[in-house]
Amino acid sequence: MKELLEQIARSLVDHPESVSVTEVEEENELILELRVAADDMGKVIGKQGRIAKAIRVVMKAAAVNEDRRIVVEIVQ
Amino acid sequence: MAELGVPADRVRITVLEEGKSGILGFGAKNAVVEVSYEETIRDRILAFITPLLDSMGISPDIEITEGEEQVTVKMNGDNSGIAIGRRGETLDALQYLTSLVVNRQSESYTRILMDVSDYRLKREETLVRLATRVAEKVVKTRRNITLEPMNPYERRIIHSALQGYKDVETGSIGEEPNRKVVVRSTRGGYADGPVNPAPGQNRGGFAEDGANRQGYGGEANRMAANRLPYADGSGNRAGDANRAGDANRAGDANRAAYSGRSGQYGSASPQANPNSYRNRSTERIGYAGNPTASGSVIKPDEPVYKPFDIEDEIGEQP
Repeated sequence: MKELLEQIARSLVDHPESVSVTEVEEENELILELRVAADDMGKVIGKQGRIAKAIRVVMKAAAVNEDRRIVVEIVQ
Repeated sequence: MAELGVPADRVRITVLEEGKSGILGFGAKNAVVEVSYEETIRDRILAFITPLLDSMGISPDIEITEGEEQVTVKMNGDNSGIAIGRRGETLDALQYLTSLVVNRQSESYTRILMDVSDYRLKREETLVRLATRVAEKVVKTRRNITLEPMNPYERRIIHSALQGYKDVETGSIGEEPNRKVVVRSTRGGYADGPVNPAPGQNRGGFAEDGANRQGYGGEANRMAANRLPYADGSGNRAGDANRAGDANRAGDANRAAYSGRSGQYGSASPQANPNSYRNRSTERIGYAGNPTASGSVIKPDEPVYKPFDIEDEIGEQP
């Protein structure tokens, strides 16, 4: 899941080398904290969060075989 | 070529210096060439979606057709429903992200159209059927019907399905992502209220209701500049009385501003004058629990009326 989110984010940003994802284990859910270069924030959030929403939707579908919920958080 | 690990039919070779075989192998020289490899749209799409599909646990056949301005990606395979999602949500997200990836750092714009197991085709058929059914109802009852929110692609299907349909016209109200298609009667007609309301009664009811609206005078004036000249459905206002009893609206703080207009409705004739305000309302749509709509000012139009059985029909999955 971590690698997948990194791959999606790297395909969208101008500075793929600055993309990193940290996994935070919670009870019944896995939080994926996505970090990108400051000037790439817009590239993963989008107008009215449209890109962020699309990322969450595909990640949710990709997590179908996981036994826990996947939460994608974009952090500064 | 094998050394570089790229397909031979995808490389461009430019000869910089001709080779020489020399004389009797003496003075032989290798040719100097420049080999360039261009990543095609096809490569980019596949590189992006394949890991995603893998994670979803599916490996559909992928057919990519490249056109001038549009690239279609068709996927077919078992269990591919996971890539469609509820009402095509996952498919739309996948298509949107793919188009961002393809068009990133590109001067021209290539439209990406993605489909899984002909979902879009079937959805289009469903929408066209729905459009016709709603239009029939609008013609019969002369009441406007507002459909549930749809994306631009789906709204366009409804608009074009009803383009040549007699006695109705279509428009859109609201803002993304809650923009909705309204199907209106172009033959005068009644209201968005109950069937065959007695016009007098309804206007009376509206007048009573008018008191509630006085407070929104400022809003009404502000919005006046944005009014759209819809001349149809002259009886629209007649339905206002019924709204008082409508749970969606009665308690809705965001609701419409009709301030100062009451007088006009009293003398309204059924035929609309396009320049009068009679047919227009400045309205805020605020369904409870809808974060986008609440508080945002919606383009003035007919009152949004939740269609009766429409909502469920439209959600149906092919």
